[in-house]
Amino acid sequence: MNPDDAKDPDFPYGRTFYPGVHDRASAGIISLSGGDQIRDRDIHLEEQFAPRHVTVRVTWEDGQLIKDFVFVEARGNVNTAAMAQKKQPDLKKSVVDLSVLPNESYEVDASLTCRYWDDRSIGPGAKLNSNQVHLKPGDGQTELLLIIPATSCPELPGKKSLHDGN
Amino acid sequence: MCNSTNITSGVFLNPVIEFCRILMFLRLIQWMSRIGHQRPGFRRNCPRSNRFAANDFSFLSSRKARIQVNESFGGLPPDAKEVEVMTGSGGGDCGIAFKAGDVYLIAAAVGTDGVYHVGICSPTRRLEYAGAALSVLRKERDGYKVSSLTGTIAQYDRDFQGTLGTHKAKPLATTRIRVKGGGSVYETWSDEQGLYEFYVLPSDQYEFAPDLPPGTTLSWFIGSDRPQVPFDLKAACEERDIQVFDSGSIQGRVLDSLNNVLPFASVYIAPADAEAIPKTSQ
Repeated sequence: MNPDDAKDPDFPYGRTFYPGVHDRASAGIISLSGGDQIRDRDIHLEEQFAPRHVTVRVTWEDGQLIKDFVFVEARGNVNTAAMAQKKQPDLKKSVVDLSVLPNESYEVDASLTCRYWDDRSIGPGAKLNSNQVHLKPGDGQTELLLIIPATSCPELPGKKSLHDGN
Repeated sequence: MCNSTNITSGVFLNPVIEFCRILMFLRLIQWMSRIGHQRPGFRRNCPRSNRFAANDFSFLSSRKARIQVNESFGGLPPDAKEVEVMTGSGGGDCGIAFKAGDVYLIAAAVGTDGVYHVGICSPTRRLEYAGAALSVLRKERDGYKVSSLTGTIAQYDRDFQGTLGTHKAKPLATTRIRVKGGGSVYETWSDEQGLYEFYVLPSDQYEFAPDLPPGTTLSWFIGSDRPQVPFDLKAACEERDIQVFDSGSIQGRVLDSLNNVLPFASVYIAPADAEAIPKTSQ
């Protein structure tokens, strides 16, 4: 499991060999001959760290929820390899549950790509970015509010926005 | 302006080959590079495709390859020892990246310009991948009876260096091959190269039931004992390879410290004597 020993807040388990050891020399060897059907070789994992969970709410500047896919990204500003990305799963809530590493500092922001359509086509348009919020280890923040500095997507002549009606 | 490539040798198919055959092998090539599973084959007497009806192969004209003819299956003068074919440069123009010194089974088509053109949408392939096609073509050319179902049977062992690759196929020689269909069972034996042939099979739906080596299965999916999907045999000659895999399997669960199952966890497997554990980022 996790052969790269990557620190992933969504999978907080280090490199683990069967049946549940971290060094390869201690790993159990499963001998398989042709046609063998070996069962119940479970692998046991232990959490290496408890990921930090942050609830991120993204709204228009008038406080209205955004009824489209919003991408929230947390970038480690010390450890640049530490990165977490989430897309809001529920179009009615505009809320993202983000998992990050507990001992890392992050810059968190959101983006929305406006989408337009007419009778013949549908496609992306302007990309709107939210404000940026700084997340430090131990700062106690469990909820973040990110605001897209507009009340709707910009209008395009002859096109309708998928965000009309927000 | 054409670039020229020298090829040392090739085996030439009839340049006015049926267009349906070209299409059949197109599927075959896509299949070999992606999944490596049952390949639909090589049918004769098929209707022509409208797509190529105009014989406009001008898009296959940016490179010229000189081919030494080792063997021809028609369409060339009897004394032809060398021909030039036009192809594309690759990168989406359907050209074939011929390599000097390699031997190919080549299916060329004559364009409206009267020149031979060859592209990836044809049966053209390196000779080592010709499989049963070469045998069928020789028989067809020499006036022998052609089998109604042919192919190779070979074992594919997992290659642990890749994600889901296999080592080069090992032909299963002298193996009894059965096909079941229409309430009947037909059988034959593979030759030293794993090539099998059935003659005069009636059109029907069939499934393979070969005598497999111990510990092997016809199913690609590890741990699965599902039978292969039956296939329809309608054409006069069809090519289907039989792929055999080790049937060994290891099953278990991935559990956290509270013995809860962790869904969608990725598990990797490596030979115990491998020096390095593969990195997922490689």
